[in-house]
Amino acid sequence: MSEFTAPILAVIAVVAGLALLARIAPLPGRHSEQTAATSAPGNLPPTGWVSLGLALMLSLCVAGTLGTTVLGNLGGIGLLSAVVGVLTAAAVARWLPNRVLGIPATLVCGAGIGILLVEQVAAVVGATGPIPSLVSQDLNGSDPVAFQLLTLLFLCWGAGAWIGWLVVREREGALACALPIVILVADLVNVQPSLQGAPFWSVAGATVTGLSLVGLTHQERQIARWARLGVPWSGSRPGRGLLATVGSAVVITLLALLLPPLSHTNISQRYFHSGPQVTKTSQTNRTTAISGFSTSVVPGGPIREVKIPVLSYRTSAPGGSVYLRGVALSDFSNGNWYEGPTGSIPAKAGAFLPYNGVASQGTTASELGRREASLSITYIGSGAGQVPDLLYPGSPLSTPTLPGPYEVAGQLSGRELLQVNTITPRGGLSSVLPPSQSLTTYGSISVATAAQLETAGTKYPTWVMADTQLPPESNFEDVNQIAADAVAMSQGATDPYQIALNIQNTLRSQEFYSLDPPPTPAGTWPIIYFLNDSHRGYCQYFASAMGAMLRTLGIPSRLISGFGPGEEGKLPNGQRLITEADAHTWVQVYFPTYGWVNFEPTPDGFYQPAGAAVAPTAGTQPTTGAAPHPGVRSTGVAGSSVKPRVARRAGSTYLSIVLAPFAILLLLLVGLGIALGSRVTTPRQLRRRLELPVRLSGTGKPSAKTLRELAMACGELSQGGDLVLRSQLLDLATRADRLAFSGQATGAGPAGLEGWSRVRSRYLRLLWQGWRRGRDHSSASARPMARRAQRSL
Amino acid sequence: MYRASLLAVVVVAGFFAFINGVELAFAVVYSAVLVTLLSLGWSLWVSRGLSFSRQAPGGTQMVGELFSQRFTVANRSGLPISMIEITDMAGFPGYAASRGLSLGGHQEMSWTSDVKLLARGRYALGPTEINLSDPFGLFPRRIRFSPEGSVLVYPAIYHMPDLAFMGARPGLESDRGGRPRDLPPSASGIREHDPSDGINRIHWISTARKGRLMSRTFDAEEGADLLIALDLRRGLHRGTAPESSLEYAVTLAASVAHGALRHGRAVSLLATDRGYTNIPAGRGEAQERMIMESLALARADGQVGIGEILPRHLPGWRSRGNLVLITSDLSGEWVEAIAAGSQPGRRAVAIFVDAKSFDDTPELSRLPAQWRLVLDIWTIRRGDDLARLDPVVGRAVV
Repeated sequence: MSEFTAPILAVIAVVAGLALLARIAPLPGRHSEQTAATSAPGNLPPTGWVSLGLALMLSLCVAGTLGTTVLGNLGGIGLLSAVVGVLTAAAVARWLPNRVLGIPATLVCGAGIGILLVEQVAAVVGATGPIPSLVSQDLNGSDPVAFQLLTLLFLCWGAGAWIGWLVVREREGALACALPIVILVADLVNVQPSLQGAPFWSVAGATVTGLSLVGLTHQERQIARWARLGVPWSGSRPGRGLLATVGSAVVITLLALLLPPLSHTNISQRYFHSGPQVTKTSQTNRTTAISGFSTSVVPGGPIREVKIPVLSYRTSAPGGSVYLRGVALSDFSNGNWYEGPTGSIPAKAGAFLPYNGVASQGTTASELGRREASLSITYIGSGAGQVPDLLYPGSPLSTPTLPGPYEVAGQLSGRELLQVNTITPRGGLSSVLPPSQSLTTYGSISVATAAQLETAGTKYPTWVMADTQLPPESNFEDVNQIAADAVAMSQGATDPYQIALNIQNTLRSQEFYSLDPPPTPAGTWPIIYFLNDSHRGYCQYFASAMGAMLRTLGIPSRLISGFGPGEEGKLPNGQRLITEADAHTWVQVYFPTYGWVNFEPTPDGFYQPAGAAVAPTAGTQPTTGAAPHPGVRSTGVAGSSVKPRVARRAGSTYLSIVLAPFAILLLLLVGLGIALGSRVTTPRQLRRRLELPVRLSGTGKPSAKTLRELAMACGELSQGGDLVLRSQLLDLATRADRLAFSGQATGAGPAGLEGWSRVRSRYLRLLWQGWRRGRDHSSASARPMARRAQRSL
Repeated sequence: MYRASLLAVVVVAGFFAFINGVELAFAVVYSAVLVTLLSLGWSLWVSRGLSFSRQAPGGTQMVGELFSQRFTVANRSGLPISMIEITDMAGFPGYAASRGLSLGGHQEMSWTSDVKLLARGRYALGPTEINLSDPFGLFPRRIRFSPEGSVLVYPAIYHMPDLAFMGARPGLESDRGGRPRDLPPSASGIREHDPSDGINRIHWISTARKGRLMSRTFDAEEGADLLIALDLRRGLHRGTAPESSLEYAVTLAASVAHGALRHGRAVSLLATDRGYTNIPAGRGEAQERMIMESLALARADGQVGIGEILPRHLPGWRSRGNLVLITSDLSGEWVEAIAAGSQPGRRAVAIFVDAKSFDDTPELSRLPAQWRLVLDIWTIRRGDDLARLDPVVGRAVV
């Protein structure tokens, strides 16, 4: 049955279209001077083809948006449903214009369509059994996807029917467009970003057709009214009106699409805790993803920062802040970074982990320049569910003391774990962590000085050698390109630390941070396009590029996905708050004897790079030079010299800054023009006009003058005693007095004071002369005072 | 409805777009805001650039004539106006001068509107309402132009060949008829002074006003005067104009006055409306204009009947001329008044407009036969052709 759904819908659409065709009649064509035919009582006025076409286009745009974003393979059925909805509702409206009969008839049609849609959805989701059981099963929550799909498909039909009925029967374009617009916005703000396709054109199309439909139905309703009343009319229809409407709609839509959005930040969680599902980053298409924790680094399209709280923490690390390490990504493939081929071993709660290939005893004694740090985490809301891996303040030293077991994934050599990539509680974090309870992890962080790292040498252990090169299967040209960039950015440095530092600093100074990088051409690695062409990207671009460049130079490096240090001051007791917007990717470089050291190539304006001048903090190992470890927020740090290289929506921002004053000026001018250019129809309005120049001139109290006195005062203000203007003003004042005393002061119509149009062109000059007179008057009155003051001196 | 829908979309969509930071949702909201601003500006701009004028014939009109007006609407703004509705609210009965237009930028359109004048009265030429809107219909505007003067519509006049005076005419040969010899001739108008005019014919007031010599003109012909008494007591008349007993009565009064004045008689009008209209006897165009204007605006709003008024007027009229009384009153009070004030050899004429015949369920009134002993009575009923009154039968010939 399901395979016949589309053909059946198509047949229904054709039948409804034919039924409509038989009943529909175009409005009269162009008339130069004629009387519209009076409709018989009870008959609906004829509907134009244009409005029906627009109704179809609007429903297609709405269904297209739903199809692109959420319906997936069922998008075609959604489009057909929308078309069927419009045509059936329009046909019913033509054949049964009585609402009492027509609306139920339309709903009956909808029920038939619904049965077809249920069959289709059941086939797609693989459900069996009769239709009611499928629906009840879905309603019970066992398969909410099926029910959602069914609802959305039926929504397509419903939107079409709504538009068709309201356009053809009621001629209410605004109401017809209200539901589709609400569906569009709801779809855009609620749909999972990972599922978003490219609704741009469908939204633009819906806006243009919706606005056009509003205008056209207004005009058709007016013409139908004239036809009903037998009002003769002249002009063309739809002709000029349609052109003006559609032209305005296109211009408005273009402007609306060009204007920058007021906000990129999703703060809906503050208001709706069951709001949209936050998903991970790293989308390869151009849809906007939402910032969040990611288990791989695939630089892709634009992302939006959402400040949804994830967790709060306290740490024993220097400065009370630390990068929260989630996943170590050491597998480079086609410009992206993944966790790599790893194995996993189970671990009990509180077990010590091997560290850098040496069986750790819970200390960092075997490494120099490192110290142990604790991280006490309290997850907020659904934060534990959003971050599957345990977060550590550095290289993990042990599993948490909470009851396990845990899965420790990393580089294995037989049963021996050489490197830890992730530590994940079996069954998920929420299974071992009671609500609102803290979790403490221990890790090792580098406190090595720059001098120590510069002399670390290149005697890398065997297990880290895999991280010193890009995979051999990588495209040779791409690798060469990256290597050339790496050589250029290393600026002739020879030791790994200096090379890493130079590359980091070059990236921070030469590239721009942007959440909306240009799209990468097909077949090109994003980091190559980033380094050579776009120069815009976010943390994944910077970290990927730096990691790849270091590897082309033989320096072991990897990427860490986790969270930045977050914000302090938002929570009591020195806790720092981590939100989804703090999700971050950074680079770790391995130095013999000193282990993995963080580098921060992303110039987002918040985080310090490694090697920057940072004031030593308590607990930090004394250094002879700059602290090599990044991670301290630049804000509030004394002596910070970090210059943000933020290019986030630079074009829009600059455009807004440049255009805003012009827009304000334009608005003021338009307002002034409307105020001054409007008709003067009542004596009160004339008085207000005449009072203004007199008030500016400061030659008396305008409210105490009669209209004729005001007119005479204005006449005297005119340059050289403009007698014509003066007589016109006096004439106007006389007419206004007559109007006022004849009891027609209000609603008298413009005829009485039509003469204002002759004065209007000189009114601005009058204002200017009044202002000059006022200035001269005030300076003249100030001069005697000045002379008196001089005499007294 | 339109603006409410738009406002709802802006508020709801704007809120959700803002808290979710979705760019395309903002575009939808911006569209709604922009279309609002554009519509408002468009509506203001085109309404500011719109002008309207009307060309109507001056002077006075008469019921039954065709009144032709020419309207012109000009759109001086550069923006097109897709829908304009012009409604002329001049109060002519049966006049519905609405017009739908579509105007481009800097375009002007004119049309002529003809209306057959169905009822007497003074009609203001306006007001005129222009309803227009922006292309989306969000900000409809109504411009109201105040009335541009007025037109006075006289009652219809039918040719009544001596009908009203047959019984009442005293005979021009009678030395008792006509104006008493000691009365001075009445000046009927003013004209430019002719050197042949005597100095006593100069009208000094007009001469002073005009700055040149003006002479009085006198009615050359003398004859018996005619008093037309019109009963306009409230509640007396029935029917709806133009098929109402009031309209018939006024039309008859106008026709009688017109006929008498054309025959050179001095005519006086007495009406029992609220203002107790009493136009002294006079001749010529000026008198006719005065009577017609009065009849054009006559309303049945008087407090007393003609029977109460006549006793006060008939004694002064006794020797001057004839009486034609037009009434719908069945009470007979007026018959007694006429009988008391009548003179030998001079019969009054009463035109009885049967008000009951103008009801939805018409009836015929029966007049007492003895009334005809006192005066001549002509009965007019609904549907009678006033142009074909039979002087013998006293009924209109249908």
